[in-house]
Amino acid sequence: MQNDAVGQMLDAELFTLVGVKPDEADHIKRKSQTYFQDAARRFRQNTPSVIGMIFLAALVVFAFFGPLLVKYNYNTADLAAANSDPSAAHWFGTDELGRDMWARVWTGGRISILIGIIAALLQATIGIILGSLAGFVGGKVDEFIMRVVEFLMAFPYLVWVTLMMMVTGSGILPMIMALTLTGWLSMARLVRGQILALKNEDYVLAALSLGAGTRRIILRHMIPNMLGVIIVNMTFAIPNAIFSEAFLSFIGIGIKSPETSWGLLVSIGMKQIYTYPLRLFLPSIFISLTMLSLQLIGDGLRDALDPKLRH
Amino acid sequence: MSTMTNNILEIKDFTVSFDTYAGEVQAVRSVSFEVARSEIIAIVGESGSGKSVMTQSIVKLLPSPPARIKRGSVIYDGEEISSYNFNQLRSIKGREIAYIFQDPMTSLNPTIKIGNQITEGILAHSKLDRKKASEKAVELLRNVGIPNPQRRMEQYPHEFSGGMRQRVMIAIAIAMDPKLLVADEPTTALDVTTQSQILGILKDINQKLGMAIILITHDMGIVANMAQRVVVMYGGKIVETGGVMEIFENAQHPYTRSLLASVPRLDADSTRPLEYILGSPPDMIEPPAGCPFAPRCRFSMKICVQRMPEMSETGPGHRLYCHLLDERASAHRQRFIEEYSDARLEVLE
Amino acid sequence: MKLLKYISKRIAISFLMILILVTVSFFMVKLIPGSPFTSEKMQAGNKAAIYAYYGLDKPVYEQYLIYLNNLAHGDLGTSYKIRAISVNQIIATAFPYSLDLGLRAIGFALTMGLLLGITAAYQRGKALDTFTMVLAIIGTSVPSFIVGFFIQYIFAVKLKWFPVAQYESLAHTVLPTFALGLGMLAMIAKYTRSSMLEVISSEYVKTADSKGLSKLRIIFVHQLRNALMPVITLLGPTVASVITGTFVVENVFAIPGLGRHYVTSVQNLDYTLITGLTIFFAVLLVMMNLIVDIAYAFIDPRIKLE
Repeated sequence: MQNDAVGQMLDAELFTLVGVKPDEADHIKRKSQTYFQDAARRFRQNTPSVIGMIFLAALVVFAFFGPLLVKYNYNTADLAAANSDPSAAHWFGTDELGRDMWARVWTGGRISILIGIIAALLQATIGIILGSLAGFVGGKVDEFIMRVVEFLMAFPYLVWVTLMMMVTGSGILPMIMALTLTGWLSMARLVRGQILALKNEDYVLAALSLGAGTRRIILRHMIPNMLGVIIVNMTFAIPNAIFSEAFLSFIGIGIKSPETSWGLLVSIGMKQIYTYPLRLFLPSIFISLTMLSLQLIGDGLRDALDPKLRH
Repeated sequence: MSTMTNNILEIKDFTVSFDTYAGEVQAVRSVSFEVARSEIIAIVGESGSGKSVMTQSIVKLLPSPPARIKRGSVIYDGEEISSYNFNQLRSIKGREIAYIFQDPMTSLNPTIKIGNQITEGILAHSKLDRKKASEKAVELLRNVGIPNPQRRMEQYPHEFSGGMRQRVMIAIAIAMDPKLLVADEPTTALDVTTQSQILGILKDINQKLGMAIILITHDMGIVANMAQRVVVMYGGKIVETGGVMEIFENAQHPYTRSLLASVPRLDADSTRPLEYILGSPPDMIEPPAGCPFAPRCRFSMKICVQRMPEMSETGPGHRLYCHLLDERASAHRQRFIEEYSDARLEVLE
Repeated sequence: MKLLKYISKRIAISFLMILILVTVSFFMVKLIPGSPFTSEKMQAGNKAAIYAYYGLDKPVYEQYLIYLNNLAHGDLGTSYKIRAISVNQIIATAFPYSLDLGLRAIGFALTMGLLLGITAAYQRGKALDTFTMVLAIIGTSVPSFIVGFFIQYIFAVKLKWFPVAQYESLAHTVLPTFALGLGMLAMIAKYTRSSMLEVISSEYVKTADSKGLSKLRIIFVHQLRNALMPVITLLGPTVASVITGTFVVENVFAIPGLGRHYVTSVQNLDYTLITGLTIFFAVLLVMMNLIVDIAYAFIDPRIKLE
């Protein structure tokens, strides 16, 4: 009996009103994050991309500090030590002139990576400027710019760059110039497309109807949406530039001795593939790793910055 | 196929989940209801309540993985089809049960002529030759009100307007005279005038061909206009079922009442703010153990949070899942009934 | 006949493009510093004679018009370095090698790429899918010359399964085809896979399923057809990639094709050859894009009627 009463009391207790707790009802389970916070989180969760970042970071560190770790200059010949295998004195061995391979590889890396990054940045700048012009102004300006882009794209890219290189001559600066002049096309098309699409987006209309001015619309609404694709495009532009540099140096019109780059080292190493394969493998592996890392990072960034995948 | 039962479709304890990166989404949780022959039954609920997943899983239209039918019985025309494989279901899809989806632009293959998309189904299910199938297709197009059907057969989806495309979808669906048509928000993507035209066609089909229709919608006006019975879903579960008149005049579940109350009325006091339901839909990855509506229910009690209510019948064909019916909640129930006494919707003719 | 109008418009534009390309190539090559014969030692009189022979003593715009005229007659001029051989001859002897290699590489890349892409989409998340993605990433990031070296070193030099260089027998074609095709294979596989994934989860496939069609029909008529159409747009860049790929692969494997000649012409500053080959490549690419555009117009009804 007593149990029954207790039981009944407990039951009755279950029927006390709880109602709606406003903050609980509207409680959004996960914290709201800004677009970039969310993107950063998604990127961090993407394993291949993180691995790519780690590799890239390591490569960049080595490229810039590597040569400093040894006392040799990349170009100093030491015939007495020529053709030696990797040892404590020469971590990557020496080449046929006795030059330290570690210094050569990492100095070459510096140049290749620098060219890649600078060229990509400049390409992006030109591309953004021209693309925005085409997208915003429209009309004849747009048509003209797009005709030029279409025409340039009809050339095989490397043929175009080669031709450009021959006109500018070889060396680091000419190479950057040549790459920049030929590589801005995809960014321009991309930016133009983005602006055209964004101009018509509902939220731009909404902002306008709420009284926002043009500048505010561009700053607050358009640019954050474009930044994502711009960054991704740039991330893919760097390995393209590195590859172009490698290719051009490989066929002999890019970086020339006494300067060095990974492409040039590959070209030299190729001739010695049967005798001293290491001289080919080292720059090859590092070029591949660099491009691989940038690809992975680019893929990861693309997925992370895609607004449609936001939670 | 037996004709003993009066129900064209019976679903019991139907449970469907999705495997996603974030976890298992329990989209449909132990749902049971029936559809009688030739009746129009509406399923209402918010987005994410499981309506589409449930109706599409009946004939396993969702790719599996990631969808998974965990348990439940599906009886179509007296036959248990829940364990049927793809080939067995082929004789049911299109011929017995047909579907119309929400967006007619994406539901039609953009690279195939309309005519072929209709005859495709006919040829798959009947012994007609191409010519006869084409003639039938032309007839179908005419029946759904598409002018110049002969010429239209040779055109592509992008050459049709939204309303016309939906008519084509209907033509495709009724080609083999199915006994059950599932219309998943067929008019949501259309403007109001076209909406009523399409609904008119559906009503016509129901009356002339005796086809049962499951009409998924979130628009209570459409429910009042079209359906004989209505099923109310929330958080993957059914919370109330009943005849349309009965529900509109005498809904017993707080969620249903809120739905009805939140429909703006032309004759309402224009200074009153629009009613809405506070809060947002529940997380279906870790659904609550009790009634899914509890966090947003003004009349929820401790027991609502802990335990899912059992089914009770409050009238002929009127089923309810709510703890308010318990005698120990009578005080709260009184208040509930008083608060919503003027939330009746006039049934539209 | 809207289709005919579309095609003729595209052809006209292509012609215009080629004309502009020729002009630009011609003048750019003229811009290259130095003169073609500075490296050679010769007496003043000979130099003048040689200049006259090549028409280099005339003003530039006249040279241009002469060039155009010759071009219209199919004459690309004579090589500066390899005396007495016309550019046409060089192209005639070298092109078959490059064509053969290129076609094999494209065939290889297309078949394997499509196969991998399609099966990866159907096997989403499983082993084959991961393998395809990894292959795609490696294929698109490792430069073609490095791939070339590595397989040459491993399979020809060390394992001795294939000949090291040259292009004489079927066995000779294996390694170069693979080296040339890998990059494209990766791109095609990746693109096909994502196109398939998109199609598989589309609403019209669901509609087809709800009609009770056979699995075969759903796959072939509704999924594959729509998924593979956009892949045709890859053909243009594929050919471009083949052309530039031959520069490297022919070098690595010592194949006497156009790519190799192009590289040597650049290294030797053989201006007519450079110009001639540049134009040849560009024309190839323009034609390829034209064919793709027309083919696409036939296949995608949405374009047909624009």
